[in-house]
Amino acid sequence: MREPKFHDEEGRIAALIRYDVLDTPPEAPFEKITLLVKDVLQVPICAVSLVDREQQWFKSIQGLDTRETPRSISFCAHTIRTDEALIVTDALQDPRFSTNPLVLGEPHIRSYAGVPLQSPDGYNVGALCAIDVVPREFSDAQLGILRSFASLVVDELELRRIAERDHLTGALTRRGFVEQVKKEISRCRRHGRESVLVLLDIDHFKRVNDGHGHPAGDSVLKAAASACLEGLRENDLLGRLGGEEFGILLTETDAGGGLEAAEKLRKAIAGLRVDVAGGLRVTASFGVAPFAASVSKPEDWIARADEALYSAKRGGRNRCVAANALADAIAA
Amino acid sequence: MLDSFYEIEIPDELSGVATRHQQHVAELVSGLRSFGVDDQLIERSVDELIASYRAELVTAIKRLKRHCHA
Repeated sequence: MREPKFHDEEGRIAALIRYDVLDTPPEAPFEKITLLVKDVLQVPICAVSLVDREQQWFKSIQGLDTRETPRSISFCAHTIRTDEALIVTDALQDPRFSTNPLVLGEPHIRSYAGVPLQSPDGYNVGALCAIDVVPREFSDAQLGILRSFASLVVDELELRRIAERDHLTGALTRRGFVEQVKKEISRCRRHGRESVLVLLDIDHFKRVNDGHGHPAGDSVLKAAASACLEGLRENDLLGRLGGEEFGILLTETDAGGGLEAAEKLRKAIAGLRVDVAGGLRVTASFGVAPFAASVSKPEDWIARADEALYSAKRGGRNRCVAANALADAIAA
Repeated sequence: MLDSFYEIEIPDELSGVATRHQQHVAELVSGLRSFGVDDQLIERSVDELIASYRAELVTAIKRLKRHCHA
């Protein structure tokens, strides 16, 4: 049974990021759910709210013409703090909300029912809420219905997340990873932040497949991906780009930090004993490319990292090489 | 339980989430009935939800197949 994780805000944000749904336009499945909730519960406003660090984003909202509000005034930010539904029968009488600008001003919220959108690993990433502009009660039956609709919202999010994962390794698929790289480029450009893209390739992988068979190759890929996932922070991303090549996106990381992280992963993979043929050992080569002003699309950034990866291979494998700083290669 | 995904070959990766969706739809139907919602509205709601999810599921399956053959 899943354990709710109400106090792990970083983990919660990472779970939200994994769904890759922030800042995306309204979509039919979520619109259908909010329309039905509005209809069945007879409320003027209904929303699928996703609670980010500073904002709540509406993946779907009926009855209000807005896509976001500050988290500080969000009712749903209260809902995600527990496993239970949050019921406010009269916001003007509730000290938590009586001075809230959404109560005192437009849209003049007076009553609210929200249930958490909980990921299978126990993180409340947002809430499905029904809102009225008059005081009212919500019955247990109505809350049960709201809970069922909330489960359907999570089902939609989960379906998309799973389809973006490589089944063998648990890493993002190439498509999913490249999409994230694209978004990171926008963030780096907009906020001037530093991030690093790493490409890694398992050395002599063909020999593993040819010598021990494809199941052994699969075990190597799984073990290497697992070592990477264990060594990465929650906000970092791992993608399988194809065959034995993986990409790693290290967010809010400078060039030195990127090389250090890659070196840590290189050592972790070199230290693996894969459960094949009495303990197979493998190594990997890494190309490390910090974000650069010249990068405008994922292909640019990947090409930079790939060039460094090629240098690592040419330099003898089992090493990390940084783009534009090849002299600083860390040899094993 | 009604098999809302008949004629769709669901890969193992997605079978868990698809089964959960069916269970949640069944719970919703039960909740709506208990609340006294009109049968026609229930039928319309369920049809819409299932059709929408079914379309998403097919897209997800195609995407997974593309990954497998990449």
